[in-house]
Amino acid sequence: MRIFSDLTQARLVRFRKMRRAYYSFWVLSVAYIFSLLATLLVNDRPIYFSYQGESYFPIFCHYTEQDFGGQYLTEANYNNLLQNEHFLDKASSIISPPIYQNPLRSHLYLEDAPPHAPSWDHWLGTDESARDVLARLIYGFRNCMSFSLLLTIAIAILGILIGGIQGYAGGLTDLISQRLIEIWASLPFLYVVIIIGSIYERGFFMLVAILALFSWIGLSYYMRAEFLKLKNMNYIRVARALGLSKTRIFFKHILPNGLTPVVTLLPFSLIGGISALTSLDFLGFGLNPPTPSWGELLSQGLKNLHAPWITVSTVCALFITLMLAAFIGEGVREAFDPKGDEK
Amino acid sequence: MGKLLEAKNLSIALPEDGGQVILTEGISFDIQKGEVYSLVGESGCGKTITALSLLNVLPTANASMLTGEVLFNDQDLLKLPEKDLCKIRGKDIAVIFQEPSSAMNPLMKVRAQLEECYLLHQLEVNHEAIDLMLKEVGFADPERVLNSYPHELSGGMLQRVMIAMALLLKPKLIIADEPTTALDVTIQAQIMDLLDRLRREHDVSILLITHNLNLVAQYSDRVAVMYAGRMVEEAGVEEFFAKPCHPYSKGLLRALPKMGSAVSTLEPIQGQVPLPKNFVPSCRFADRCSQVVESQCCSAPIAFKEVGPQHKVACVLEQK
Amino acid sequence: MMNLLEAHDIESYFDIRGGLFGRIQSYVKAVNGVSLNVGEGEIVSVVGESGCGKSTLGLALLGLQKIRSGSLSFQGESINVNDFKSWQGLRKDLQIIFQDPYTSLNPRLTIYESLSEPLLLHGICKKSELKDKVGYLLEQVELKPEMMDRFPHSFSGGQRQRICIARVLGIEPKLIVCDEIVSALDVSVQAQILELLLKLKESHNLSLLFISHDLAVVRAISRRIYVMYLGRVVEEGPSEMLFHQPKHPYTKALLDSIPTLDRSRRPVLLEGEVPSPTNLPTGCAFASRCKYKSEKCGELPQRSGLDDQSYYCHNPLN
Ligand SMILES: Nc1ncnc2c1ncn2[C@@H]1O[C@H](COP(=O)(O)OP(=O)(O)OP(=O)(O)O)[C@@H](O)[C@H]1O
Ligand code: SF4
Ligand code: SF4
Ligand SMILES: [Mg+2]
Repeated sequence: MRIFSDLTQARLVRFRKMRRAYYSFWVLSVAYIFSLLATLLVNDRPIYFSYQGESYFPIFCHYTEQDFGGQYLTEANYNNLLQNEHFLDKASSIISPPIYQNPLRSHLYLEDAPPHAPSWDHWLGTDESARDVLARLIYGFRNCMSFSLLLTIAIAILGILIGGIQGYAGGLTDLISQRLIEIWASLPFLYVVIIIGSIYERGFFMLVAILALFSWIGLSYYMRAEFLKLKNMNYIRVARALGLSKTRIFFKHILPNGLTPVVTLLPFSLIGGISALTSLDFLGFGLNPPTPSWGELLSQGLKNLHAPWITVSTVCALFITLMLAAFIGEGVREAFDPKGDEK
Repeated sequence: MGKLLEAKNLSIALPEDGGQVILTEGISFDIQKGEVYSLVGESGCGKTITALSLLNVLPTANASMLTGEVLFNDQDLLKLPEKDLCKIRGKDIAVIFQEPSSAMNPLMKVRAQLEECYLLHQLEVNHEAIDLMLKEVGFADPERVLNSYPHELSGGMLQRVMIAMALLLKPKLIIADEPTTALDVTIQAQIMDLLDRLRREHDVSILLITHNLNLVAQYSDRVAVMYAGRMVEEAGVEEFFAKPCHPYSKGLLRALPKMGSAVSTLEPIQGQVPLPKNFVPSCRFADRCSQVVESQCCSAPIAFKEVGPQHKVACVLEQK
Repeated sequence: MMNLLEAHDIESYFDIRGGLFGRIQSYVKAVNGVSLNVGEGEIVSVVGESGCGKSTLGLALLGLQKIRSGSLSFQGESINVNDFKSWQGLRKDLQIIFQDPYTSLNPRLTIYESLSEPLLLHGICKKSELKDKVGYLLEQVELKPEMMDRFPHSFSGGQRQRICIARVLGIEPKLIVCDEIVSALDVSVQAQILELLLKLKESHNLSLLFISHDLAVVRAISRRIYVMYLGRVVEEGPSEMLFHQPKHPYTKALLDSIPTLDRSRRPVLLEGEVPSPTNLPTGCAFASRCKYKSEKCGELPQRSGLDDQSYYCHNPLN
């Protein structure tokens, strides 16, 4: 048994031959995987230490000052502890994250008013609340990638299902839903976000859901088209004549052949997701503060033009990410649909 | 009469596994104004790619290697930049493709696709001309056809829409690749008559690719037989049917189904066209030829030589 | 000879919808009252002009296209044409092969997968025997069993058509509808496929309903022919008689437009407007193009003629 059909195999090979897209794919994937581990890599508490012979995992568990000989029941302050000699005496094998920063912590003890320019402690400086820009960029990357990926999956599911059913059913179902979609598509999306955002809390999943509800339409057009086309292929008729059930025909014979537009559109919907979240955050309608986000950084940069490190680093990060995604998209499209189709 | 198009030494190769496979080589022919020139041969002989290469629209355009010259209106089409070529394609030279179902966009109504012909060449849409042309290709109700999606039309109807599309802009040369294989004889007669009329009244030239020798006999002026990527015989139609020279041409004529014959009496040429990667330099028909003379046929390439007025053949038997 | 399939007065229309809410505005009367029968072990052909409803008829006879009215019976038992279940029960016995071999096979399935699917579905053989069975089927259509792991794109048109034949052979149907199965193929390949089909027909005791526009092919393969024009049968009879003594003017026109090598005998053109299938005349549909038309032709001609050759015309030729 083969996992991929010849066609898919050929496409994979073609994609791999597209150096730029192929490498972009790896760079972006690796970066995203690292950002998923950001809790371990970029944090301001040790990953692990042992204290009086017992193991502690401060990143994952909550410990109070009392646990380490302090007086209060408040959360332990590891920055102070790590400079405290009593503590250091009893503690051993301390493992700290390579970037010892927290995107949410304000370094207000620093001299001057924030934002602070880049320094040894803060490689990309701090923002107007004296939070480390690098840490916020990394967490922001994780947020916006996760957001876009989730969004893309949601769009794919909605688009495939709705477009697919439209195309497969055809006739009146198709006609009526097409009218409904046209009405839906003409709703002003931004207002809806603002209204819903003011009624409910603008949580991560809420935003994904709202955006998804407004973004599947493009894909559904493609899917509808693809299904309409495939439905009239003779092998579908043959399958019907052979007595296969409708669901089996849908999933086994039509869907796998109709996924081309989905795959070619995915990288671009990823780009769309990143841009959408960034702009919403920029306008202040996105994720609730203080969630680290690129859009929010950008708007800070705009307000603090005398602190170019904020703008420059964010714009660079955004630019590189979007460019990588665009390269991937270009490669995928080329691999799936080379000029002069494979027959 | 003058030459409308001249192809010189056309060769097409495809890169494969480091080397290359030659699909056709050394194809030269010319088409006069108002002439019907036919290309015949079994599938796999390279008829379609030869025709497509004239317009530089080979399916794997970016990968294939195309050499030679195609002179049309004193310009070499193969050297023309894509932009200028686009102006010629569809307008001066139109193609009727073999597979109508894949040549049409399944999502656009026929009307939009016909109107696009005009829009592509920045011309004003002529609705009357569209109606008229659809009637010419045998549609009783142009209106319904225009309002249909391709899948709502039968195979033969789509083929006719394709033909109408090709003829709409009154091209000077029509490349018709098996234009009537999907059509029944009455409509075939109608289409061929339409093409014939265009040729007579408007001096349109037609490159007819077909395996139906009856059609060639009826409507064509000159005919070229291709075998395995090469031309093996070229002659005026009357001469060709009166005394075909190449054993392959003779075989094709013998294999022609005659009305009233049962399947068992057909005389197909035994064997198959070799695959391009197995092409040999000497005569490629040798393994199917009943008159093969090993010593002469299988050693060196056979010249494509004149054996009579306007009659060329590539076979050792004719070149003594 | 017993009739395997009997169809009586089949009508199958397509809706033409329009307007914002897609109301039905009119119909394409693709099949407009066709009666036909196929005997056991018989090869019957349907010929006719492009767009006259041949393919629609073929699909309708298999329940793949909605039948508006008419009755059908298979092996003497009548089929409830509007009931999905009653079709499902016939799937094993009634099969179809299409013209375009390129779109008849799912490009993502290997030949083995394509061929084994119906075998499993109909419980023809056990999972363990599938490989052997598929190999055997490929041998039946003169292909090599080793080919079963390849994908469709590596086969030529003729080979694909053989694979399609193998696929329906697998479930051992009684009747196969062949819709233009050779018209996309080269003449030489055509002959091979037809020969194969004839051979399989004998060895598997099949009946064939052969739909084609190619008169030479039809004549070579079938004993009995139905000629269709605009959704109706206009003449039926043994092929010898149809070809030598056509009774219906349209059949005659068909024969006269066949091109031959003889340049002095040009194909004869049919003049006159073709009526639209959305708006058929009440009388003879061929009247607008018929040379023999008379007053009476404003009425629908009834079936007349002898037992084996019958026609629907007021002024039959002799
Ligand atoms: N899905 C559809 N929707 C609307 N009309 C259709 C549809 N399919 C076919 N038709 C119409 O039904 C009529 C008969 O079509 P059919 O495909 O049966 O013709 P055919 O005799 O097989 O022709 P051909 O020889 O060209 O294949 C045509 O007028 C066609 O336009
Ligand atoms: S050259 Fe020889 S092999 Fe080739 S066609 Fe002529 S006789 Fe036959
Ligand atoms: S019924 Fe009349 S119009 Fe129709 S075919 Fe016969 S003679 Fe012609
Ligand atoms: Mg048909």
